[in-house]
Parts: sequence; C-alpha cells; structure tokens
Amino acid sequence: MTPKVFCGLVLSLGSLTAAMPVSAHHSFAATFDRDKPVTVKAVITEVHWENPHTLMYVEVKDESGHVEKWTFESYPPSVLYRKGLRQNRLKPGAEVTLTGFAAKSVPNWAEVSIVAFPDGESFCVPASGSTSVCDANER
Amino acid sequence: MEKSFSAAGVVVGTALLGLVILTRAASVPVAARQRGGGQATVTPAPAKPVPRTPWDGKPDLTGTWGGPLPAMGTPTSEQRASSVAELARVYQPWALEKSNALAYLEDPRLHCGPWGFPRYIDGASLAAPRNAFYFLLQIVQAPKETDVLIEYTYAGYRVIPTDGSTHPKTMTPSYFGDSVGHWEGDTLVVDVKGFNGKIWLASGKLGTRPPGDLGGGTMTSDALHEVERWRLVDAGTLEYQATIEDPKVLTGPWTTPKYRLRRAPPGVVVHEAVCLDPEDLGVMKAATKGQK
Repeated sequence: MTPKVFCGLVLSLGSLTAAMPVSAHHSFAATFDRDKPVTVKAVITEVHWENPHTLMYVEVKDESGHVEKWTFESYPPSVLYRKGLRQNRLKPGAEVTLTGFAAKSVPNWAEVSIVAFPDGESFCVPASGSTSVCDANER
Repeated sequence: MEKSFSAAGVVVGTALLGLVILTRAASVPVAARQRGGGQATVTPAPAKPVPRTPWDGKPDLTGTWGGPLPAMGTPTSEQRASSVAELARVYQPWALEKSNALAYLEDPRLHCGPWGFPRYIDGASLAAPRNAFYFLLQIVQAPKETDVLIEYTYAGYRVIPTDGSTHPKTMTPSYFGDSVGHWEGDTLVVDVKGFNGKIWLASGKLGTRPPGDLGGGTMTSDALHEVERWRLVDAGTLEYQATIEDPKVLTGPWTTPKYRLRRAPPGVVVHEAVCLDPEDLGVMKAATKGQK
C-alpha cells in the first residue's frame, strides 16, 4: 500500500467516525438546519472566545451596501487554538468567508464549518464537530 | 612542540566512532510502511516502552490525552450503541421511564455543567479530528496522588490519592465524586463515590426516539458508585474502563466499553475552559421549542 493510499484510508476512516452524530458537544441537529447552507463574505466585528462555543460576530455587506449582522458559532477557544485558528488571525477587522449551516429558528445565526481567509488559508471548525462540508481531520 | 598522533590511536578511535554510529543507527526506529514496486519491506517500529515512575515503578500516566486515531481500538459507534442498550437493560423501570422523559435541554452539559465520568471519557475517546483534540484530559502522577485535569467540562479536576487513603466518612456530594486509588499490577483502580446525582451516565439514549426527537438522558443518584480502571496499553495509549453501580437507579452493575485515548503531541496542554451563561443557549431553546 502506498503511503498516499494509507493516508487516504486513515483520513476516510477518520471522517466516517467524525460524522457520527453522537460525537457532538451538542447535537448539530438540535440547532442547525442542514437544508439551510450559508456562505458569506464578511468582516469580523467581534470574536467572543467563550465556552462552549467561540462566537464570531460579523457584518455582511451586499452589493447595494446594505449591511447585515450575523453570528457564527464554532469550536471552543482551546480547540481553535490547537487547530491553528488564533486571535492573531481571527480578530475584528479581518475579512473572512464563512461557510456553514443556518440555525433552525433564529435568523442571522449559523454554525460555521469553514473559515477561509483572502490569502487562501482555511480552517474546518464546525461547532458541533460533525461535518458534511469539510473534513475535520484536515485543517 | 610538535604534536604527533599515534596511528594506532587514530585507527582505534575511528573504529570506536564507527561502532557508535552503527549502534545508534540500529536503535533509530524505522518507518512502518510497506511499499510496492519491489522495494524491501521494513520492519515496524517497536512500540515505545511504557514510562514508569521512579518512586514505585508503576506506569506513569502523566501526560495530555485526547481523541485517538481510528486504528487505536477505541469502541466503534456500534459498540457504543450496544453498550448503551446494555445500560438501558439494567435501569430500574421507574428510572428508565424518568430518564427517557428528560428533555434535551435538561442535559447538565448544555448549561456549562460537567459531563462527569465515565461520560467525559466516552466523549474524549471518540476518534478525533487528527489535529484538534476536541476533549482533553491531562494527568499528573505524583508519589501520593494522581491528579486529572479536565478541560472541557470546564476547568474541572479530580484528585485521586494513591497513598492508601480511604473515603472520608462524610463526603460533600459532588459532580466528580470522591476518588481513592490503588494499583493492581499495572492498572490504577479508582473507587469513586459521594456523587450528587446530577450527572448523566452516557451520551446515548436509553430508548429509541422518533426522528428529530433529541430528548432522553441517563440519570444517576447520590448512591452512584464507580470503579475505574486506568492503564497504559503502550506509551502512547491510555485505556479507561469503569464499572458502574447505582442501587437507587440500577438493578445491577454496568461496565463501560474499554475506551482508548491518545497521547497528545508535545506542547498540547489543557487550556482554561471556563463556561458561563452560554450565549447560544437561547438559540438552542428556540430551535428545540416544542420538542422534548
């Protein structure tokens, strides 16, 4: 087995287990709607480095200049730290593209699965630990 | 004065140097991968020996432990489901009914409460994203006690005396209970009692729920009594198993699966993780309104 195949096998096994619903801190299904995917280009206004979830308060500007405020939840601060997403990058003023799933009953609130920066760096950081849009075994 | 080198000395010195280099090379672990294309198979790296404490020679559990890689033998989702099914069978009927009637939002962990043990280990031992270590445990083993630092049940800790201490006569009821430990061979056996009845035993549900219904819990009482077995499978793998009794709530003992945790890479340590008034509780409440 080549190293690539071996790594692929480990990763795919890992993502199988990562997709287990029981793995979540709280269930994704409780709060978020997999049928409401959301992607926004936004500017961060605040980051609340809190438990159980880090919260990103962002402003999304549309073509007409109208600004909408959104809140995205992610991993606890300690987990983001270990994934490399830290206060030096995730901070007020930062431009980000956030991909995730909207909350079921509250507007402008979502779980973020992917935080991507203009320089191409991105992080897989879903709040509930289970993902369908990115492999949490990768960055 | 002119320095002169003994030719014999050079020969001996070179030979010795060569010997040192050869033996050092032989002791360096080699990669365990087998390659195709006609290349030679290399032997697997030997597992590192279990570290032992100098004061009593017992396995040293000191370190930071987190989610294992899938291949490390931690229970699969099927094994966990079947373990919860076993647990359901030992609940007293009234307690089973009450557990199943608990609302999703009554789960203490959603209110920044501890997961407790064994539930925290059940969560920590899920095969984790490779570089995230979602749930961490840090263990500090000392001559007379072993301390367990828990990150994600919010800055919790357990002190486990290993000096022959027994439980005090009176114990203030607590989420983590009062622990006393002793060694049986290479296994640290920890007896825990004095619980406050507020933790849930497991993250699974005791009965089947209709789709989308997240209610149900696994209640305990203040009569909860746990006997844990902690051991190092190898230098990089920590195994945990617990036998649970709760005469007020269960008809008999329940033993968890053997969970496995991986030693985190150097530099990975528990962070402070204080949880107060989760900001997303309102969102969860709105989302789960009308369901149990």
